[in-house]
Amino acid sequence: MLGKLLKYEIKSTYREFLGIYCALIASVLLTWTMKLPQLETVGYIASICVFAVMVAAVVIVFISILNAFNKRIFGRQGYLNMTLPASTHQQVCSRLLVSVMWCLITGIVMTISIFLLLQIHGGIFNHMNFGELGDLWTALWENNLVLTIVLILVSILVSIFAIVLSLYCASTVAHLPIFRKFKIVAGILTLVAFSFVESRVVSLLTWMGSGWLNDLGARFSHGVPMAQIPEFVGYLNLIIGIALLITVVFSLAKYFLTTYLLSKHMELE
Amino acid sequence: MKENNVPSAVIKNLTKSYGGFTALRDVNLVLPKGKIIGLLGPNGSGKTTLIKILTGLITNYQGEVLVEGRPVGADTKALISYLPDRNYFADWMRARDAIFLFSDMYADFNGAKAFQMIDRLGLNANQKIKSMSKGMIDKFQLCLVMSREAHLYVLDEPLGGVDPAARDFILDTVLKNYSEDSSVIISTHLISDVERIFDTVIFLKQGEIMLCDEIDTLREKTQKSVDQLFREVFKC
Repeated sequence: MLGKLLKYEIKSTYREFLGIYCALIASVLLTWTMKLPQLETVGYIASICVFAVMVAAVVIVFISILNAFNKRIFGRQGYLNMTLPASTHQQVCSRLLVSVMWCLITGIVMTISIFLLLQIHGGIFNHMNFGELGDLWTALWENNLVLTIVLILVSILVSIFAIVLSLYCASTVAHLPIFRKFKIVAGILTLVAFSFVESRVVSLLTWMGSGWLNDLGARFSHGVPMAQIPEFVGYLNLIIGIALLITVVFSLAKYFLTTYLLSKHMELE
Repeated sequence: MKENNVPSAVIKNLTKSYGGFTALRDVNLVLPKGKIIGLLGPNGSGKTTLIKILTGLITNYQGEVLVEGRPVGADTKALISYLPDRNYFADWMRARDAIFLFSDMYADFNGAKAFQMIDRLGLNANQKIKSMSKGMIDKFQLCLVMSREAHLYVLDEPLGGVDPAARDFILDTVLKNYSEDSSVIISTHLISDVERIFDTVIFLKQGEIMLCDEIDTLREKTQKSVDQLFREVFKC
């Protein structure tokens, strides 16, 4: 059932995202016209549009994700979706996975757009020595930085899950019967409350570890000697790992709160 | 496998309130298998609330609701074929998209039957649902619902807002396409049009059950039609 829900969620949402991706790539390619004397103005306008479209893409992705969740669970489409023979976990997971997928694809498209821009206007790939990438990889491996990069990439992925789950949880809280007349305010206040609680917990943990962090800061305040780079990277990985764990715990809490409220306190109007 | 001894649904001490307003008050019902049941009452009597609880669209209530002995959840949603009182399709959907979705999601759905039914209606499977008239959408939704071999069909106000010819089509479709091992619940306030197909009627007034009986017994006891009885019970 989860696979089927994923398929239909992708079918329901791809139209909203393809348009913005096409606009982004098209505006990047249009900047090439800056090289033609008779179309220079078009090129300059296109280059301004590229940055505007990039900002719009990020905003539209998250608005679309929230809108899709609201429409398909709490709107008239909920009469179809919420009577399908699927558990609440399957309903939420399918939407969560597809939303995260669109966020990742948006990131990839934006990265491709940036590299396209750099190639069009700076010929970045013309001057690149790909042989140096091998040396870079060796240096990263020797200094234990591969794990750091993996942890950073996992953190980015988990953060995307966390943001989407925040939106879902806030929307579900806002649709509780008690907030019937104040949905938008309830949703915004729920997001603010999440931020507040998370920042308090992080502050508390930072305070608890302040002694250790100060010692670390004092030890490496004048730079990191070559021989101590692996040790320093180890500490860095530990800090990133703890931050990742905190994000995972909060995300799980929001996920279970969302599914609990949908299972026990749902009232489709 | 359909278990013949278990009632379609059992509702015990069901109460549902919206803030200060009680939509359903201590409702107790046993919905028998193999019957066409009329859930009758004026607007605001609690029919749709009861239906939404049965179908899992409302999960916040007091009391117990069992469908074929099971609490409402993913399992019971697979047993129930539900027709709401509104269009629930996404704007991008064509008729064939909806049929393929039902085929995918419901093991008891007969896609070939659905295509045949919409063909008889004169509908184009490639037509966007949002471009259909309200009457055509209502008929299309009914075709999807009745193309399933469900244990319980729940039709919420299927006759509202459609012309008399369309009403006859809807009632005939229900009669021809439901399985005799299944039950059908039809909520309506248009009694005279549907009285002929009911086996059992339930009168719901201000969230309370006023009457629940077999139609033949009722007519014998009262010497009145259900429509006449309804007007008496719900007199303003």
